[in-house]
Amino acid sequence: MTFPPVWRRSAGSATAAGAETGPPATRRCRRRPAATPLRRRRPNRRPRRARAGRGGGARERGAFRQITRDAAAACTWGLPTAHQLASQAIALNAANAQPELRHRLEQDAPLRRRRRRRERRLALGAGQRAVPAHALLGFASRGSIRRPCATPRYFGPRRVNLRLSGQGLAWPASTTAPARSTRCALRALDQRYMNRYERGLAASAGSGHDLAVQRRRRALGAGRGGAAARPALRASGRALGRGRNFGRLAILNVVSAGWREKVHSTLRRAVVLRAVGEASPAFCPAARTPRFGRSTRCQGDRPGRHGRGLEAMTLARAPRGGSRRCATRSASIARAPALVNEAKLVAQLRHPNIVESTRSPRTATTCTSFRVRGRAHAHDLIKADGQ
Amino acid sequence: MSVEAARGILCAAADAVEHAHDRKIIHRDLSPRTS
Repeated sequence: MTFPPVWRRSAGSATAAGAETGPPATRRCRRRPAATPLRRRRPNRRPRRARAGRGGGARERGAFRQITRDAAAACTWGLPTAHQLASQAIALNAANAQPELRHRLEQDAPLRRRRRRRERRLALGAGQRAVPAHALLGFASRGSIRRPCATPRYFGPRRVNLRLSGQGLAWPASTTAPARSTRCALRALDQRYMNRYERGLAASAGSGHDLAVQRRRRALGAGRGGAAARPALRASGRALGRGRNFGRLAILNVVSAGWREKVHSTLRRAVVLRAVGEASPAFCPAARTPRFGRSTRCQGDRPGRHGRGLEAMTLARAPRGGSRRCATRSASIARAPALVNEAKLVAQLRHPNIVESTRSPRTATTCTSFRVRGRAHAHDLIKADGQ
Repeated sequence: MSVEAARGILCAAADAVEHAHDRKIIHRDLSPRTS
């Protein structure tokens, strides 16, 4: 009768065998076929212990001293084992999930407030809560109470279960279903299942800045001029009504790829501007790029000279029909040929905060500058520049 | 100049510079005097 070979791997044998035969041998065959010459078996130095219950046999045969190859490598060369790496990854993942958990719990605060208001309205006791429909269904399936309706129906967390509340049913707080925040927390534990917007939310929560919901809704509703058309949302109003989180995720997940890019940039801008504390043109209706030149001068808006540098002259101008005053720079091509390339490059840009550069009527000057909001801003900018 | 006014101007200028950077145009000489 031949037995299959049994591989015995232990840290002690790995180090000791390396001293004996040169390279570290982590595998030793206890039983070999008769054709191969038998080697002298190394005596087991560990004292045998008495068999104790189930598993004692395996312990006696040295199963607990059998370690994996990476553990042997860890003992030999001091490398981290796979178990240590996994533990470290779990710890890091949990640490990364903490800001997301806090953010989601903050987001669930309105739901908790609504639930408390509902409980006050139903005049429940101190230890009682209004029972959500899905909680009752869960208990009904276990036979604790009668099934509230023949066909299970999900009422959603925002709606009061009028059928049960009308009967005066109240359930102890300890027997309610897991809270919505718990489900969100479980879902937030693994960031691999987040899309880029959820990661953005997590990043904003981690940085301590709450997203401006109103601003983002305004940005989502009012696209900028010339932008891609907003596709029709496939999410129903029912899904949008189930809490703010579901509404946001539904909006963000059903839109097309082009619109996603725009929403992503808008969200990023919202986070940045929340930190800065200033409104952005991204949330304003698209402004028409002002044009300067002959038409502006015909309106009688003479540019005011505010300073002169080595190569250019700084002017304060107000576009026709606009309320914003701008700082422009005018230079002669003959005097400053280096500014021609700059003017050509800036002329390629179309942005509400960049003045469209045009030739002056005398065809010798070019205006390129940043546009700023408000008359006082431009004036102060030039004054602060020391010119 | 107040801090609020300077912040508004810098935000507008930074927005325009970001727009230029998105189109592979680098200013390379941004300073309080030139901006």
